[in-house]
Amino acid sequence: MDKGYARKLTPWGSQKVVKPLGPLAEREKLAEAMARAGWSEAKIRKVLGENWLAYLEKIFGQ
Amino acid sequence: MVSESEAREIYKSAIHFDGLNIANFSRTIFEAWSTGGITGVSCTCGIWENFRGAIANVVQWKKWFEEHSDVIVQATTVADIRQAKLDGKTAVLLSWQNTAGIEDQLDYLRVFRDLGVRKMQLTYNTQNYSGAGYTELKDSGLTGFGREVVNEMAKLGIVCDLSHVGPQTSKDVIEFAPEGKPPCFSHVLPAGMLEHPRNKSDELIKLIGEKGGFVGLSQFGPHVAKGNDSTIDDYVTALDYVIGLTGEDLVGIGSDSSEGHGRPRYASIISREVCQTNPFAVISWHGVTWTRDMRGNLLLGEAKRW
Repeated sequence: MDKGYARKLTPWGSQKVVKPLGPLAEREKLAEAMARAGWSEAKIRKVLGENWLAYLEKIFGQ
Repeated sequence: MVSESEAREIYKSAIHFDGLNIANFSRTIFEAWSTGGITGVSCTCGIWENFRGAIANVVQWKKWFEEHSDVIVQATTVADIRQAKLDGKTAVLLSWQNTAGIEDQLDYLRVFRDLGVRKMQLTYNTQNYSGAGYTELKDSGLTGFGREVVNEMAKLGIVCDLSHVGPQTSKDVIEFAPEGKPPCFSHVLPAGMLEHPRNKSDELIKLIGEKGGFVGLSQFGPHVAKGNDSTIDDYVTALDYVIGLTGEDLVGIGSDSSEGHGRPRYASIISREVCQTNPFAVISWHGVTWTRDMRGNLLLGEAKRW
């Protein structure tokens, strides 16, 4: 299969890229931003992780 | 209304799962997850590698699970992720961003499932046996072999990720996947906010939602509406945009964090030169070990991961 070495596929290697979530060690800031957006506690918990786990359960078949 | 200090308390007790990291994995990253209170992470351990290279990457992770058992633990079930939270560790879900590791052998899927690779992106940017990545000039759609792969992954309980997959192949997989085993976009942004081939259209996001699939949002500045001026609040705006398409039960985080890697401006060039001058060089870059295949061909990629 094509392993992508023969041509330039994206320009990102040399461009400036901002990652708005910030460093991994400061991830709790995401919960603060969710609160600033007026999110409920239930919605915050779902989007932070409970939704992922419910989906994974569907696929893993627990 | 939840205050910001209440949000920090909620965060402490909440499960936080990050649907994609391709960091420069090491103790430094594992400790960053710890400090950041991250419960579980889908970690890329294969992109271009053939069977042998993919095995080598799993072996490396198995060593890390032993050496750093105070901070990380391998997860193969949702219960493992919840247990990690109770134990104050970060659960690692081994994942691929390409099905290159099975080469052309459908049965190899089972081997990697048994090793704990429980999430695989069908293709990474280019054409492979199963379908087309988003940078292909012509999107082949899901191939006949790809149909078998999608079916077998569903049977084995492996998540099928379509983030870097082309629009036609993505649509085909969403429509073809067995009932109750929908695919996901683990790390994408919505094209409805910024048109880009890497971003997913409203149509595809709605379609994956209708099947009970999942959408994790990445945080790649140039693909967000405000580009590199985007803040964490703009990220939450993007979450709300996708929630508007699928409802709030099918959306989460897929940060695509590449922490610990410098911007790989010349990485592919450097890697090529090192490999050409030292035939036995093993290059570690982006958490991927670049080696030679059994015929001596270099397994190298362009300086890109996004």
